[in-house]
Amino acid sequence: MQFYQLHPFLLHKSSSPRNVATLFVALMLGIFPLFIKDPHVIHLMILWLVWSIVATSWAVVLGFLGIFHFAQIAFFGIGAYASALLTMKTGLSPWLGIISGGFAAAMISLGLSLPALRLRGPYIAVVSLGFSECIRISTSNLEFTGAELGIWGTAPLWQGCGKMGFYYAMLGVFIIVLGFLYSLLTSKYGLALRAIKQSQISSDSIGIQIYKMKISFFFLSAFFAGVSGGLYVHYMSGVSPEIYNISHMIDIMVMGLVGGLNTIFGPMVGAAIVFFSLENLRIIQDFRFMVYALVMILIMVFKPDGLYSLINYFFRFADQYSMRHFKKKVETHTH
Amino acid sequence: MIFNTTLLCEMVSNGIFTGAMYALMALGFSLIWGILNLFNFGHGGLYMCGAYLTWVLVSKLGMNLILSIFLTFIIMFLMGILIEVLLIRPLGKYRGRDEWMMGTVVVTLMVAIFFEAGALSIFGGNFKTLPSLVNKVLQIGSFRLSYQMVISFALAVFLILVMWRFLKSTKSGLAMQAMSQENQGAQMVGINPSFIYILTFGISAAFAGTAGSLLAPIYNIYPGVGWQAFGKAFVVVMIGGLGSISGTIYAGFFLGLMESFSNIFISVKWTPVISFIVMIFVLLVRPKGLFGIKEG
Repeated sequence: MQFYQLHPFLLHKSSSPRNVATLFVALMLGIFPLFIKDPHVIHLMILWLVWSIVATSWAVVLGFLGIFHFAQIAFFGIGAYASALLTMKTGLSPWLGIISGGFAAAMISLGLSLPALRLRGPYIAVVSLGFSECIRISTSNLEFTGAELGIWGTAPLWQGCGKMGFYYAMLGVFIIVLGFLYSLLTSKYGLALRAIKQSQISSDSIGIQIYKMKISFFFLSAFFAGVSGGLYVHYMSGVSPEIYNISHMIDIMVMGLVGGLNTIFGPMVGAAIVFFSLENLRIIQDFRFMVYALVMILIMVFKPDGLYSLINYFFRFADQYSMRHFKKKVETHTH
Repeated sequence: MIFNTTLLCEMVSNGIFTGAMYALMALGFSLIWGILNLFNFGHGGLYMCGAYLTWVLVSKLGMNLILSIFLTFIIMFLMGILIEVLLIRPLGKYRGRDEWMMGTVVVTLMVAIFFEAGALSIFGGNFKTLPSLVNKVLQIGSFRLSYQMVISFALAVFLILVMWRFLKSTKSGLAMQAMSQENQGAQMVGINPSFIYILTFGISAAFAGTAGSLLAPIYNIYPGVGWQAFGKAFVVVMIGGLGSISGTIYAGFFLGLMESFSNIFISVKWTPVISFIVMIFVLLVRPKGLFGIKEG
């Protein structure tokens, strides 16, 4: 389970297969609403982007730090609630509401991570499950969060932004989040995280501050989940405690795990598969979830490191090809 | 609130009863964690499956409740074996690596979702209830106790004691304990791991299913009932200490009593929050669990 080692030449060459493919996908996502104007499709794409951000922020914590936890949906919900409450009670702009929702989620994540990250593997999972249950029950019992009904009537991002406006705003945030995570995780910081995951003792001995690194990365992950929660609440124009349901957390986990953890683009693929398979299986009605469960079981039994590894095979092949091409070019120049 | 002996008796009896059920649920969960090193998210699904199975046996096929509980035990045992062989065994080659964790988490989660969706499409979403075996109520002064609860409690304690004897004095039980202490060492002295894995999964599924069928005459049955039970099993196992059998049993009773007291003194709404806070506190003070003594 390691990052596929890229040759330095390929890493920095702007026309390496990976970069070309990434640009192509980004371009497709950018121009597709100009051709497909079906509002239902755009709606699905918006939700896919929201859940991709959450799934990615959950999966990087598991993939790069090895921390398995259930609290991501709580951070998502806290971001949504904080943003909705702030914009409705104080008349703040939705953009500031979304960012402060992210900060609210990140600050509350400290309440979990400061004590819990001192524990080991399975204990963190359980403490975070308890934490998110506590958040859920408190939200549905407290008065100022609207109890069981939740908060409804949040403003859209700007006056008269239709589905299209939301889609582009969401896509912008999505690309910023992924780009930020990519540059962070390929930097020195990301190397340190991977070192911690492989061996705590040896990374401790070379001077990596494990506890600080874990807390800060957890903070960042909660921040992104909170931001996507804020986007979600302004899109859906409201939120109820149903959002904290464990089934949403299961969806996030399945998206991350089916897509593949050790890449930044894996959870996005997983989210697409989970989301569109659940959506397209509506025709078989009652048996939808049974078929869905069977499909996911089959994927995991045959490919437990996620579906993105299949895409990686292709890239490996393409990299080798372009390396050979490069060498040939160098040889003809030198002769 | 008027505090009197009747209320106290009722709280204690309720607490001990739910405690026995929690212990029964959590035992299988703890065993699987100790021996296979996987978090069985399908545990709640198996519980729900057992409850529906008993419901079908009793109200559709007209069987005796006690007989159908034992039939449920056997069928769920076979179901557990089936799950292990079909779904967990193919992942065995990744054991001890990252893929093992990812694969088992998704597969067991999907088992739970599969059972839930199956129950929803076969039986529908409405609540089902089972008739009690005995409709009488034991009355001592003003303290009332239904016989059904007494019978379910006796069966649960009987099963826990059988499990205890099995683990402490039979060869397979000792082999299971050895596996949970030191996997490779146990294999070196000639314990067959695949047999132990099958046995563990079977026993765990059987206990989860039986807990479901024992509770079926007392609580409602619906497709999502498993998740709540799963959450409780989780908390019990953590309070008791992962992998410790006696700790799990004590913690089951401890949590049952605590919840029954907090239902009366605080509020039913906030009981889950309190039990989770207690669990988090226990984990922070004693990460090995409240009763987590290494068993020899």
